[in-house]
Amino acid sequence: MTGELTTTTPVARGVEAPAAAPGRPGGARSRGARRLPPSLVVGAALVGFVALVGLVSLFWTPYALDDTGTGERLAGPSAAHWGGTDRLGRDLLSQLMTGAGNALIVAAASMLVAGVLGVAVGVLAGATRRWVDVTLLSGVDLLIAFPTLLLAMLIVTVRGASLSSAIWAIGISGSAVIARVTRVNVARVLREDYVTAAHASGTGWWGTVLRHVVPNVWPTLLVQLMLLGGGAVLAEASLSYLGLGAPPPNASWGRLLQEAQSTMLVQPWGAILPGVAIVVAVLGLNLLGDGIRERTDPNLRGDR
Amino acid sequence: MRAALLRIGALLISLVLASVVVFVVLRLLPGDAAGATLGVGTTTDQLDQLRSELGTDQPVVTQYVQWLGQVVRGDLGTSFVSRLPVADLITQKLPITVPLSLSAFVLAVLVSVPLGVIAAVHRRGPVGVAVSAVSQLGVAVPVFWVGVLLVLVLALQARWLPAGGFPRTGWDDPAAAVRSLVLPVVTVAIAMSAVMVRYVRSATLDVLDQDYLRTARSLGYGRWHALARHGLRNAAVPVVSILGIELATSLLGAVVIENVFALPGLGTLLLDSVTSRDLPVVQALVLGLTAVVLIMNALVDLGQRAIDPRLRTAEVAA
Amino acid sequence: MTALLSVEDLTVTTSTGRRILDGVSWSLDAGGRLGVVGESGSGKSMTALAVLGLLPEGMRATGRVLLDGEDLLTLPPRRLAKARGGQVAMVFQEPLTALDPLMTVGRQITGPLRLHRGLRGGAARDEAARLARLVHLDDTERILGSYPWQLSGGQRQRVALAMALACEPRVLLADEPTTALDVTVQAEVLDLLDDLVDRTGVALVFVTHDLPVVARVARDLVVMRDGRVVEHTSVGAALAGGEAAYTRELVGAARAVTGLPTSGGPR
Repeated sequence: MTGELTTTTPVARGVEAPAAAPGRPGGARSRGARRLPPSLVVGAALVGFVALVGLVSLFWTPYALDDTGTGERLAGPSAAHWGGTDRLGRDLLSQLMTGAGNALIVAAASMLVAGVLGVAVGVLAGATRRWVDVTLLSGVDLLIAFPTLLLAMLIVTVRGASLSSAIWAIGISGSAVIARVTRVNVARVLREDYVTAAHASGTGWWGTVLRHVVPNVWPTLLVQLMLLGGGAVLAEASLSYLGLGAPPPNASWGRLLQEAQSTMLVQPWGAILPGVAIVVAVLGLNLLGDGIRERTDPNLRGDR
Repeated sequence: MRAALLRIGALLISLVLASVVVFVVLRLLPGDAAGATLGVGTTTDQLDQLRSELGTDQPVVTQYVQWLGQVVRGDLGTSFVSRLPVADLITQKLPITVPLSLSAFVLAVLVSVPLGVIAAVHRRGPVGVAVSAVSQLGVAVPVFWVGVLLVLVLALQARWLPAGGFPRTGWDDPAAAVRSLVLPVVTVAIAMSAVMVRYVRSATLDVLDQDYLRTARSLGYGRWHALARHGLRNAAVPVVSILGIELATSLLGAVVIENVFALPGLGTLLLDSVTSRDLPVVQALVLGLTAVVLIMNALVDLGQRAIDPRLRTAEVAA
Repeated sequence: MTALLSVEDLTVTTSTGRRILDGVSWSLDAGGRLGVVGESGSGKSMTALAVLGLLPEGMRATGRVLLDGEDLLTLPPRRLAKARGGQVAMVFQEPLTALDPLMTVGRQITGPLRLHRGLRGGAARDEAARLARLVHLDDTERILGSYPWQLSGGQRQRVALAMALACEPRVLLADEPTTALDVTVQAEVLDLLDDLVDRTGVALVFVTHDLPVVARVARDLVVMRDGRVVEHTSVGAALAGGEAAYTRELVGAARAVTGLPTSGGPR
């Protein structure tokens, strides 16, 4: 809940640790093996909703972000302003919609950074010489122990507060988990007999990795990336709440919340709605991750 | 014993590595520390003077060795901004951050262990389902929002507790100090519990499926008695591993939450220093917090060894 | 003479309504030796669990399980707990997972001694050592101080036996107690079980898929298939060619693989 930002990293989630997926009724597996897990459906719906709002906000918002309108400040929800207005009279709903786009950009970009970096390191560690493996893994372990928030603060100290600083911090931090997961799975798959056989029959090393390792690893990676995306939205919100995220023209839920905090006794919606938006996005990504795991992991027991 | 020494050796190596990384990353600062401190419009002479004062005209390796030597002697450098020794700045803030994160940690453990166990035992019952659902939701809630909502409801509207700040008199007025820490502690604890309940629940579920619990029942132990006798210790092995991460969470949760409640602790100091690019302070704080996390992880490993004799034997055999 | 333990019309249904056991009935006299055989999935293990009231979550048992005329199925939880271990004890198939890996063998044996007989401290330790010797765990001191995973499979199963016999139960349910063991160790544990039943007078219910094994320790035989009792007879009669076709099939199959004697019963 503190978000991956304040926890060190989501190491444990789903990798080796207990996955507390939402319960399925016992016996549902046998009767409805083809039925999609509820968490997948709900998660996809929530994420789809946030993504749609974010996309729409690129082309249209009810009001322009800097439109102070008739000047009615700190107004509650009304027909004209569904979410009310902020202390400058700007429309809250428009800002929330733009915030959705911002959150999705951060989530997608840090998933990309973490995915590319993590998979590269993981494949290299899992499939090459032992000393490379040991060196890379100790680096990964150190990175896992290094809290995302602290990494972000270091990067912001060096590069200044910006959208890309946040993305790099979250992405690099998340890559450690991705690397760990990839490394474990690559090493496991490469030991399988049929892979050895493929290798022996003359398939090149990269061919082997592409043909056998990638299809085996991607469901696990997808799950981890979704959870990472949830963590990224939380982390970016925390950073921008602290004033270390994207600076003003960008609308970020965390900064909206921070700005509304001082006036929340007059207009509580400004402090409530951005929080709700964050929860919807993060819950959606987490559920989507859990859902994909339930769908793809044959070992997951139905009664959990 | 040998294993413990090895673990401590590994800890020292990661501490050194972490310090190297932090040191090097911060030296990548465009311009450099001197330029960042003095700002625009300074003369080259001033810059050079400050550089030799800071030692930043030396090679990075020399700087690092010098700095490490100072740290070992307890000298963390001097703040660029306030010109005060960093060690003093940090010591001043500890009386707020340490009680805040430790109490949040203890409160979270006290809440989530029983809740997680109950949720596992009654996994299909209404209580179990409710606890799982709430914690699933809780994991998605940002910690600062919890703080903001608690302030809104309990401080601003109900006026039960102060909305923020810390008494100027500090701990000289214990009642006021405690009152100003209640909401922050509860905030961090709620956030941590959401994660921990899930862990405790899963660990307990795993134990509940174990044959030895059935053996205990077959010998006449009641459900809870068998769980207390065999389950808790076995479930503790995975749960302890999360405790290390959770203590780090409580520390970093405190960093964020201090800014919600305007508490002048380490978190506020860190944020101010990052914003003003106060290099020595950022460096000392980031390293200090990382060191706490790494030390906790090492303690957790040793603690697990103490609980689970199999881990001790595995070491000997290896 | 009335039976010590009798199972009458025992039926177990899952939460989805499937019948795992269907009208199972058999009885066991004091000091008797009953073998329950059947393929995996025939419900033989479930019968043992149902007797103790330890069915997996969601399963429900109906019928009667009479111990000395008292129905265990309707007993209040506290009295049922007292009967478990004290009156009816059980030994499970997999001795590694059946023992707590984080607790020394000694403490696991003294647990029930304290629970049922109120023995603690030195008295409990002495009694645990006596039980360990009873199940031929030589090197008693070392074994009581060990963790289960430091012992061999045979030693672990002896520990499980010592725990089960700790409170001098009147009935011992043994669920495939030798299946997870090596063949030579199997023979040792069977001999031990045989010997223990003779010496302590405990009545034995031996559940197994292995007819030759049951022929060695049991006197009476219940043959199960698909949750029902196919035949309830003596081991000798079954070996001589049981009444049910399925029993003859089992005997024939076992004889083809191993040297099953034509007449059985404990030696």
